[in-house]
Amino acid sequence: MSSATLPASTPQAAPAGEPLLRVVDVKKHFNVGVAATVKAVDGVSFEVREGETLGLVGESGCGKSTLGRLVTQLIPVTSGEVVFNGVDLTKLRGERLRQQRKQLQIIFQDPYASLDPRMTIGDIIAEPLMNFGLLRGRQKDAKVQELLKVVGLNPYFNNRYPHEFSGGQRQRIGIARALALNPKLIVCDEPVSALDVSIQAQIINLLEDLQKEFHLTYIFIAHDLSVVRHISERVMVMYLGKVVEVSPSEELYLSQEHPYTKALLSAIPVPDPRIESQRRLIELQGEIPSPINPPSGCRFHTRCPIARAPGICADQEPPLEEKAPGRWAACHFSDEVRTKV
Amino acid sequence: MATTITAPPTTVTEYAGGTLAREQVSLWRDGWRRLRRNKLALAAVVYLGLLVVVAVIAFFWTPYKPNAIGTCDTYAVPSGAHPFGCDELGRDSLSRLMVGTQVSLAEGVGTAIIVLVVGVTVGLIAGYFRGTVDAVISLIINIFYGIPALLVALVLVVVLGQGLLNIMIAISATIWMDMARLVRGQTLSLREREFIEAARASGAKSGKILFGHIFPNAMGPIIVQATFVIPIAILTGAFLSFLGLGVPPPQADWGGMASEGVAAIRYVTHIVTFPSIALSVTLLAFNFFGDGLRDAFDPRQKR
Repeated sequence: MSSATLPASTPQAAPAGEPLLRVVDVKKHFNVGVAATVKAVDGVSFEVREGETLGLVGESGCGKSTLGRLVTQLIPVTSGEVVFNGVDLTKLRGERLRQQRKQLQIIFQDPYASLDPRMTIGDIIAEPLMNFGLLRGRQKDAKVQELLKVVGLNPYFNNRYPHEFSGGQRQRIGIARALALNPKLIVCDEPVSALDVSIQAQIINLLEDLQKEFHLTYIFIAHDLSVVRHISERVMVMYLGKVVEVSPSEELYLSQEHPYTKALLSAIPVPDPRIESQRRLIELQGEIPSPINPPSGCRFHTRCPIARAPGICADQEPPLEEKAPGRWAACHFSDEVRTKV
Repeated sequence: MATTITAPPTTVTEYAGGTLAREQVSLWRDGWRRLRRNKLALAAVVYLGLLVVVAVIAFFWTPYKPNAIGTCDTYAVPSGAHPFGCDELGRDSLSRLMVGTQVSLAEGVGTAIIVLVVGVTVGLIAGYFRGTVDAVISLIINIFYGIPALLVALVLVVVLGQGLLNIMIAISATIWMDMARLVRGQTLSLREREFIEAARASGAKSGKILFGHIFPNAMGPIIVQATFVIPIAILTGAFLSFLGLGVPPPQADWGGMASEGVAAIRYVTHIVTFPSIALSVTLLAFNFFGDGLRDAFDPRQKR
């Protein structure tokens, strides 16, 4: 299927053949209280090709973790399609959805909360195998030890409990669990943001090595652009439940099509005091607005340094358009981003 | 497909993390270690252990036949031959007290088991499925709370008859709600934890999540609650006996013995004194034990 049949807001051109994951106009609205809804994810479309890593970046509350859970169908969508491997997961229920989980795993943000404290790590890693009745007895134990080795842990730690491990070690256990079923796609939901900086690099390197070895496809969620820079081929930036920019990773760090992306990038400190003191920081005004009652038009206009408000930015929602080959942004004045921001 | 990982990667030469954060301890070992330091709870454990021994011995041997009338003079005060004296029918009080231990322990533990099974199942279902199921279960729980407990127990014993099992069912009907509520609350909070989401992501079915993840994690509070059910059940059982609705005579039990003792209190006091003391000390021991367990399983305690 070519991209021509997709809605106009679908960013990148599809390569030969169907992408591994195609998300079409997905929305997730949570009801909160009487007649109030949080539009956590509000019409997001994207594709992920087999073997690539898509970085997903945005502030807290922009809906990136919710999107990760929609892709893995841990929460149901309000509307839209999640087509994985040619199957629309949103149409599946019960056992048929459960069978798809073999292909589609997730690594969680908090390595302390995502491991059952009452289970040994051997049981934790074996759980996916047990749930699908894949391996038993000695074979299962051997597989668990192999997985522990693969993620760089001592294979004889299998009868210890999670509280005996450090954060980085626990994240490795979470990765081993995600690998147990040999999935095609792994959603990494901020897998390093709870870890020390020195450990972050180890885990990212491990994920890169595993990707090469097992031909994995990643959706890598993070709240700052520096983390996803090296691991991602493409980066998608979200703001208040919408995609504001999608771009090949290296190009995005050189130039930006959306003022929000530029502001996010300027927030990354440069590890050189001379450059750092010369650098101009783009400070965004105010807090991220409430997703219960998002701003009209472009959702970013209340904090945007180049917004025409009142004007087109407050009135019309900018569509996600291809501004340059492979570079998509949702901004009325993306030409000005390079010069005026 | 599960066997495609064959060779360990060459990139990892050394295992991440040689040192471990803490000595390996399970829930039970940890709890027992803390319980041992609580002198009062430890004394309670010793006393309850002795009580169980007495109850077991009473199956095979008592100083006199517990139901044999006229082994001594009626209302005989404690003496060398009858250390706890005799009752209004000339039965040996010590022998009857020993047999009564069996009834009290059976009522206590039996009720706790029924409450565990019913309360845990109902609580897990209400907390996990929420919505209408939870609303209906919560309504039933509140109705049970609304009716006076003793009324429920009395009516049930009258309807079901006076057997030991029926008494346990009747007592359970008055106290299962606390357990159900506790488990429901635990389940509601545990089901939102990330490791439950992780279990679902790895393909776990509802039954596996309920009994493989939520139940083991709620185990500490459940055990503590069950321990507190025992003294309440023993007391309620004794009270039913006191009212003449306990285990049918001539079976000896502490509540029934106290009742007979109260009738004779103008002549002698020992008949009411000994079963009352036995009852009080046992209740106290179970409560101390429960308190000790609660402290030992308190997750905030890291000593």
